[in-house]
Amino acid sequence: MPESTSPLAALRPRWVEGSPSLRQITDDICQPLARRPSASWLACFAVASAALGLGAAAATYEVATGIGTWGLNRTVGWAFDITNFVFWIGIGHAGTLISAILLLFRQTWRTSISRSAEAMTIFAVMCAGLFPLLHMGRPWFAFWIAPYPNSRGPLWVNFRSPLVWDVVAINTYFTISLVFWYVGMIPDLATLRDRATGWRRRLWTLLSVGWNGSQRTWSRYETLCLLLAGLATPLVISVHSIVSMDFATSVIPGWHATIFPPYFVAGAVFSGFGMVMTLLILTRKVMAFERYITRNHLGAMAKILLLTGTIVGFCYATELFVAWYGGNLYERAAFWNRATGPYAWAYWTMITCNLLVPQTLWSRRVRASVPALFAISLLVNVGMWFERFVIIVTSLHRDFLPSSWSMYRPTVIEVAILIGSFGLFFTLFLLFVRVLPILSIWEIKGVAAGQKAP
Amino acid sequence: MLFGCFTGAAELLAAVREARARHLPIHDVFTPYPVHGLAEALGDRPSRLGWVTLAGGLAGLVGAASLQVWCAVIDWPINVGGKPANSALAFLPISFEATILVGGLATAGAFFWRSRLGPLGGPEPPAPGMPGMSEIRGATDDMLVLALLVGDTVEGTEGDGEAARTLLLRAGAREIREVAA
Repeated sequence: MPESTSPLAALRPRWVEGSPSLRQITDDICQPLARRPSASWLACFAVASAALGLGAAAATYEVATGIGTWGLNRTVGWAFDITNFVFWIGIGHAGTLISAILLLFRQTWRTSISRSAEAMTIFAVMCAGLFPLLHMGRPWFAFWIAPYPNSRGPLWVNFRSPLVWDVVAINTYFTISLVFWYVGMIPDLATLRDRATGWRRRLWTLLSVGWNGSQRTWSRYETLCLLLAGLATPLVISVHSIVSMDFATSVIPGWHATIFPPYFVAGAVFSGFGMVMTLLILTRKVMAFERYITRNHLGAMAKILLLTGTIVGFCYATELFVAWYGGNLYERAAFWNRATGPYAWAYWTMITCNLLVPQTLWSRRVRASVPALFAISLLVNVGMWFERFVIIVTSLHRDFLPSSWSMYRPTVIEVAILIGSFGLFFTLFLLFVRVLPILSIWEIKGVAAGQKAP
Repeated sequence: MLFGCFTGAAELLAAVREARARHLPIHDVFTPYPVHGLAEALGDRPSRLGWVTLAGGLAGLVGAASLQVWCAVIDWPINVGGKPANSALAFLPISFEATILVGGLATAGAFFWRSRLGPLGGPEPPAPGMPGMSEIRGATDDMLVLALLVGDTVEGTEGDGEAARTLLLRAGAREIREVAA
């Protein structure tokens, strides 16, 4: 064990508190799945599924009636839906960062949080996918975006369009994340299988595909995980870069900027870590997993939040500087309008939540306080939603010709669909917490075995 | 076949090294987590899955690039904003995504195929000659199980059952299970 033989091992933070035996780790993580749901889980589930129901009703009304139920107009053709889309895709990025990039960097602390972060990625991408689908107005024609032989020529899709790139990127991201998540769970599903009886045993038998812990399989398995991580790392960077090109390749002032891809990727990781923090602080409390999701984990995530928040803040400053220094009058007007125009409140909400609030994380006392981290993570979520709103709506509503200027106001239907997407996300996450092992049993065993004092 | 059940990775590794030194054939080792150093102790070759990734990635790259060029340049060129038909730079993002997608799926598929894992692989032996789940019970929980081949079926090891048993006990096995091979 490299961890235990190194003389530095004693100095490293412990990622599993106490020294639980292998049996105890299995029991700790599997037992909550066999118990009846707690009252707090049921209460959360009721709220989440009610929100989902509201969103489903609003989306049904929108599809049946038409996009006119939204507050869009000829000037602001993209608003709430694309804001939500970019927001949810961004949330997903932290999961891939934790499971893939931190794996490549051999960060052992990722083991306790990777499973739930990957689940979060998958649910967030599902929420994101809903919005372009609904925006199509006739979602049953969504397959038109795919290149298939058709009776119109065949007329192929325009492969030069960033919107087509986006569809391919999101679907690839969803597929690879799902494969990565499932593959990572197979050994744990086998653990569940060997503890279960009755129909549960049959289900786990089917899902664990005959895993028996053979060394040859483990050896191949670790290679597979490393290869998938190596593929997912450039993938996650490409996904939000391509999302940013939806904007950057157009000529609208405030969108037409080369800084967009790195700016969007940093923002995505920042918002994703905000959401991971929110979810894990709740989960470790409700499921009593404080031993495995330690304060050290929260502290490590807080540092990433601080780093990415500072990068995002630096991007804001760069944008403003270039708008002034670049000498383009329309660009300058667009940014002046952001900070002082009718949507200035959204801009300053964004600056406060994303730039100012995370700077408190420089303090060790703030990083050690769970309530403070929870509050900051919520504010980061709010701030990053507003960032996308600011980029999309304030750039569109006043472009070149004052005669085309307009204002945008969301309708009740749009707000209900946004609430519904949160409902979908939390419903899926709550089900996940009840049905699947939310901590990676086999990885925690490896960490616990490695950190035992020699 | 003899199954020695260990509770610690250090004991298991010592037993594996001892068995290799004495030329006792090792069938396999079953562990609840990947034990580092075990592949080296067993003398296993590193996995060649990376080649599958390379092949899959190249297939995705070539497939996506040629589909786009064929559609947009050869089959039905459309004038979009006066851009040239073969605006190859614009085909890069989709080619890149397809490289990742096909490479990843091919790697995962090859892993399942090579490891003989599949929805029908149940708790019974997934393949002839492999032990059933009952002999290696605990290997998904807290037991590290070393399976040694002994008995008539293996040439040159006849009568070595006792030696194998002694080795396992001396290495610290908590439990020994025996199955007629």
